[in-house]
Amino acid sequence: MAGEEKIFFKSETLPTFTERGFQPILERFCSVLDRHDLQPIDTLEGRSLKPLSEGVEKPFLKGFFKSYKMEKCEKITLCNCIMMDRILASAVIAIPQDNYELPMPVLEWSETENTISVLVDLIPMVDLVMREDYREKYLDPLEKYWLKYKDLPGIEPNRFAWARQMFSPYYLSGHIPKESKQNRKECLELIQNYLELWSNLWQKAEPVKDEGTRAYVKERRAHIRKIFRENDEGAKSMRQMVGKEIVDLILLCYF
Amino acid sequence: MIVEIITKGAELMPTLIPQEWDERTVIQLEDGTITLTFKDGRVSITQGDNPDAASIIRLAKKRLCDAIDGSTDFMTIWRELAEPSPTDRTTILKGSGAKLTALIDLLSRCYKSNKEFKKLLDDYKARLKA
Repeated sequence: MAGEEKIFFKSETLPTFTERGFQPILERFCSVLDRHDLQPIDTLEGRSLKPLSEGVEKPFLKGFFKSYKMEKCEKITLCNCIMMDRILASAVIAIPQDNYELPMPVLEWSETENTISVLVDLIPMVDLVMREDYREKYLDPLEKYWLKYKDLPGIEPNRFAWARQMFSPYYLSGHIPKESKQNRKECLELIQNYLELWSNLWQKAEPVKDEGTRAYVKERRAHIRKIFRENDEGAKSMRQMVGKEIVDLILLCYF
Repeated sequence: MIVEIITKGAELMPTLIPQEWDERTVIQLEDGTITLTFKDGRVSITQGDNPDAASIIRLAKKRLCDAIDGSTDFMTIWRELAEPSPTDRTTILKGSGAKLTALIDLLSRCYKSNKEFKKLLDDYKARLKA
């Protein structure tokens, strides 16, 4: 697979963990990301990202977190890691630049021996009640995927109100049993479809001309990033397991 | 009895507890309380409460056994202990379930690799059912 070769060429520390029975989620992410010109970021806010990008090797966390520069985006981050030797966690999160109103993709995958947990959304950067045109342009294209996958067994509302308040009408989350081949296939398709759709929106995105809209989008995006950094329960626990420094760096990469 | 089993597991499990961990976690079971003390890269288990505990977690004995022997998927354990939502905080009465989650992970590895520990836990769980 060409995508696989390209991403492996970029780094020797992109373990896929498929040899351990996990699904090829990294390959799915890379099949979309490889179409873009991504330039690795070495530092963010004055902090070196090398401890993450070169690979983390802790008793309860192994893998990598890589942030890249991408046109129209401040950063896009890809992660693939094993937590406690039994949860594969993989994610793509992008932060569009302040002068673009593109939604923010949050695509998270967690997998154990029996279950795949997914969270997929393109988080809107505006108030949808005030901007129905935004919903039509950026979010309604998700509807066909949302309708297709909303009845996957295990799909359920996200447990966290702080997260739901930011999500689009087309977010999906849940814990899907792995025993069915169809479930596994559809989980991979779901997350790839959302990423591909965002990638298509990205291609068409134009800078926002109206100063008021730009200022609003900038402020809203800053709030969303702050909310994620402050509330992520998994990050709170990981701080206790692998240390505050490394987890704060991960949050800096993502948000 | 559960104290002896976890103590045995702690002796046999992989030595992956970070040296810098210095904390106590109290687990409230149906018929009593045990304290896990993480220190110097090891964990020791004692019967009874501890006022200095950073975390207090309520857990049924069977739930603990299910978590260790894999009857409950690890994703569920992670959600309940390491990523609790405000709606299911009843399990975690204080602090965080992070260190207990890590201990369960290590005991699970021991359960898979050590026949002696597996038998101890299986026998204990069978008696719980009875």
